[in-house]
Amino acid sequence: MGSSRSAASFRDPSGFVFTRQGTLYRQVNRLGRDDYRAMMDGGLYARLVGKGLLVPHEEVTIPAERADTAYCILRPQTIPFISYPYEWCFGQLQDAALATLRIAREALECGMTLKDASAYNIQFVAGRPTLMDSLSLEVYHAGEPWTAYRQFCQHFLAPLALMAHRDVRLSQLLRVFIDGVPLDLAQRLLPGRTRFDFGLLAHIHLHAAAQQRYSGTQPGRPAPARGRMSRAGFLGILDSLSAAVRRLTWRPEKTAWADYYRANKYSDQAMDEKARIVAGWLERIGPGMIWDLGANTGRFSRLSSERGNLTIACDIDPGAVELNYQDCRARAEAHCLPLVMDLTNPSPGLGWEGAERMALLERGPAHGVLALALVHHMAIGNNVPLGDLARFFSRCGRWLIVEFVPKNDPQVARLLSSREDIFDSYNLEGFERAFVQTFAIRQRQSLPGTARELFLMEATHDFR
Amino acid sequence: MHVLLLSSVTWMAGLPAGGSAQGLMYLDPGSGSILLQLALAALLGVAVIARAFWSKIKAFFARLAGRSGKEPGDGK
Repeated sequence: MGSSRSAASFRDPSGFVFTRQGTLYRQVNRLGRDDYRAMMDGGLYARLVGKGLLVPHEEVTIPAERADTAYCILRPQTIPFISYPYEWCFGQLQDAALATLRIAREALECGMTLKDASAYNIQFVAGRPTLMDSLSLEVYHAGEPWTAYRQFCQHFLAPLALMAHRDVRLSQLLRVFIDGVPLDLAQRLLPGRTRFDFGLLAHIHLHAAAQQRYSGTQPGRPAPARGRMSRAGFLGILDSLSAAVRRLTWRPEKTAWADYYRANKYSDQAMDEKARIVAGWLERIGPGMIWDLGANTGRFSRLSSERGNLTIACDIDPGAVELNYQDCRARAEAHCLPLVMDLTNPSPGLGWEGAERMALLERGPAHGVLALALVHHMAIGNNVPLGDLARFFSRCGRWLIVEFVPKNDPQVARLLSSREDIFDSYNLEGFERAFVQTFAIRQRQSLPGTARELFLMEATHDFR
Repeated sequence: MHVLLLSSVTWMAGLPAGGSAQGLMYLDPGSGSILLQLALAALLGVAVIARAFWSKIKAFFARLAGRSGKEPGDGK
C-alpha cells in the first residue's frame, strides 16, 4: 500500500493531508510553520483539545510526503467515519456552527484567528462537533477582519436560516453548492419577515447586497480599500453570528416518519422480541462499525451503539434524524451518529474531480448493516429489484440483519393501496432467492404476532 | 445599506490604511463581505465595549457592597 495526498486537501498552502499504509497524516509546510508553532506553543492547541473542540494529533518522525516544502508531520487521531453537512440534521448543523464560532473566539483569546470556517472542517467525534483541521488557525494581526466571515455565512448561517424559515429540506442545497449556499440565493429564498431579525438582516440580506454592490474588480478600477477592524469589533461579529444561529429553531413534529413507532400497528411485544433477536445477533457478529439503514429515530441503533459499536444511523426523514440526534445529545451518546440519507440516492462523490467529498459507499465497508423494516420501502416504494437491493447491502458491509415484510403486512398493504401490484416475485421465496446470490443465510427467525421474518446473513464475497 | 457602509468608511478614515498583515490568506474573503463586516464591526464593537464596561461597573459595586457587608476578621 503506497501513499497519496487526500483529494480534499489542496487549497491551503500551509499543509495537506495524506494517507500512507492506511494511516492518515498531515504535513505542515514551512509556510505554515509560524502559525502551527504559535498554536502549539501559545496554549491554543491544549485549550481546544481540552475542551473537545479540536482533534488531537501527535508529531511523528516519518519521511515527509513532500520533503521540499515540509516542516513536520502530524498523525491526527483517527476519525472513524467522515460525514458531511448535507447529511446533517438541523441540530447537527447548528451545533457545528456554534462550535466553529466558539473555536474562533477561543483562538482570538490566544492571539490567533480561525482562518476558514468551512463546515467540512467539522466532524462529529464521539458525538460532538470537533474541528479536524489543525492548520485552520493562524496568528491574529491587530486590525484584520475575519477572513472566514463570508464562508461562515454561506456554510452555516444561510442553510440554517433556510431550514428554519423556509423548509428543512433546503439543507440539500449544500450538496449542490460545495462552498455553501450563495447569499444572493439565500436572500431570494428566505421569507421577507427574516429582515426583521437583526442577525439575518445584517449577515444575509445586507451581506448579499454588499456582495452584489462590490462584486468583480473591473480593469482600471482601483481595488477596494481594506480597512481595519478592532478586536472588540471582531468579538462583536462573533457574538452577533452566535446569537443569530441560536435564535434559529426547527421542530420536527410535522414530518412523516418521526412518529413512525407510535403510529405503526405493531404490539410492544413484537417490538421487544425484535429487539431481543437483533441484540443477540449483534452479539454474535462481534464488534465493529454498524450502519443502520432506515434507522428512523434510532431505537434499534441504540442496541448497537450501547455495545460500543460506532453506529451510523441513516434515515431519509430529517425529522426522525433530528429526534435521534437530540436524544443522542441528551444522553451524551458517543457511539451513534445520526445522518440524513436518501438510500435511493445516497451521497455521491462531490467537489473537484468528484473526489473531495466521499460517496457513502467509499466510507465503508461497515462490519454490519441493519436493514429493519426497510426492504418494502426500497422494493415496493421505489421499485428496486430485490437482487439489486441485496447487492447494495453487500457493498455496505459484511454482515446483514434484514427484515422481510410480506405483502399481507399492513405497512406493505398501505404502500400497495395506491398503485398497481407489479411485484410478482415480492414474497419470502423470491426474497431468499434474490439474497442468496450475494449472502449466505446464517440464522432466521419469525417475528411472533406478525408475518415478518428476520434474517442474519453474511456476504459471500471477500471483504478487505 | 449605503448609510451603513458610508459610516464605516468614515470610521475607517481615522485608521491606518492598507492591507492587514495576514499571512497565508488562501480564501477570498470577498470585497463586499469585508466592507460589510467592517461596518457591522464598528456597530457591534461598541456594544461589546459597552457590555464589558457595564460588567466592570457592576463588579465594582458588587465588590464595594461585599466589603461593606463583611464583618472584620471573617475572611479566610
